[in-house]
Amino acid sequence: MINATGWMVLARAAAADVLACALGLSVACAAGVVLNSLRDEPASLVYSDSGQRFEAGVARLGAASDVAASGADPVDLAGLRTVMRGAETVLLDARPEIFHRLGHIPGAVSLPREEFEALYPRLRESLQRGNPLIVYCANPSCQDGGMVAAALRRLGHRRVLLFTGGWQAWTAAGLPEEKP
Amino acid sequence: MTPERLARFVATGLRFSLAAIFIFAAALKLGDVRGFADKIAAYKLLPAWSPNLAALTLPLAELAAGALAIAGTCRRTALFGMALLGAIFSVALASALARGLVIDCGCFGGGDASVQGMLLALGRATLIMVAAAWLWARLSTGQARHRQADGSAPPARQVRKPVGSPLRSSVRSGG
Repeated sequence: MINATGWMVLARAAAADVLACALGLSVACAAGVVLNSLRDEPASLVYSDSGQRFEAGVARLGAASDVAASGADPVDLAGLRTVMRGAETVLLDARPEIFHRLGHIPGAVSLPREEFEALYPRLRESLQRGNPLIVYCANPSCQDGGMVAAALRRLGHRRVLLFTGGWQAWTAAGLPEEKP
Repeated sequence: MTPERLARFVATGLRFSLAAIFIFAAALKLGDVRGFADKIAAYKLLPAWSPNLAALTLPLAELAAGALAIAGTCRRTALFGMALLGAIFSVALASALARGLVIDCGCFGGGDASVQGMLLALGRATLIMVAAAWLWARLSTGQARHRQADGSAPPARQVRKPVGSPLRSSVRSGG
């Protein structure tokens, strides 16, 4: 198929393109940094993982650190429905906002883990009426729900429940969903 | 339809498809730097401080590769870049699979973290890499032939060579 000259041609083209791509990646990196600095909320150039970011944000909101160990009470779907029947509850959707927009448990308010620091102050009043807060996220393996629930506990909310099955269990049971 | 004409037809279609895939993938990541950085971090391949820089760089690199693969200039380099990005991604995914990590591949914005999803993404990335490498090799040999033929820079589009040209045999073997 390809003779020796052909390979030479490819090798020469590859050498030139490796250099061009290295240059291109450098330009893309520089452009990325510049574009990032123009954003409303630029991302830090040094990475901190989502847990660290969340921790820092919750601490800035003035959360206590000692309640963390107690965590939130987990409830399954049956438990959730019992609680919802018995009292007026506030459902909080800890998934990223886009998923909330695609469909959520009726009445649930979006409080994504990633935007907790920005959104919590706006919701604080409606959360402080003593109603049980029920947090959920995508599925049992999703950690956002637990993190948000623990943060709410540390911010002084007494009754915080974590619906462990999350959106997956809700839709699997064929329960109604709400779209904005 | 001659084999070369068919190959050219396939190559153009493939190039536009690859460009669309890269631009689409870039567009999904551009808006969510932090989320994409988390996905990069989950591979545990890069130093702990670096995922944000990678998350700022990669979508723009994908966008540039996709746009230049359609545009006339730097087309060969764009195709090489696509193959390179595909290769990097395949190696990263394969290494994650080998280390037993179950992560969201982070390829098209996100989804569920599952081994099946990762295998699917690996297959897709490998296909993209092979397709881009084939297009790149085709274009490289085509450009070299043009240089040999008239000493000028290659045209943006490959022109069909007249029947009976001395280059005709090499056109067949090079495709």
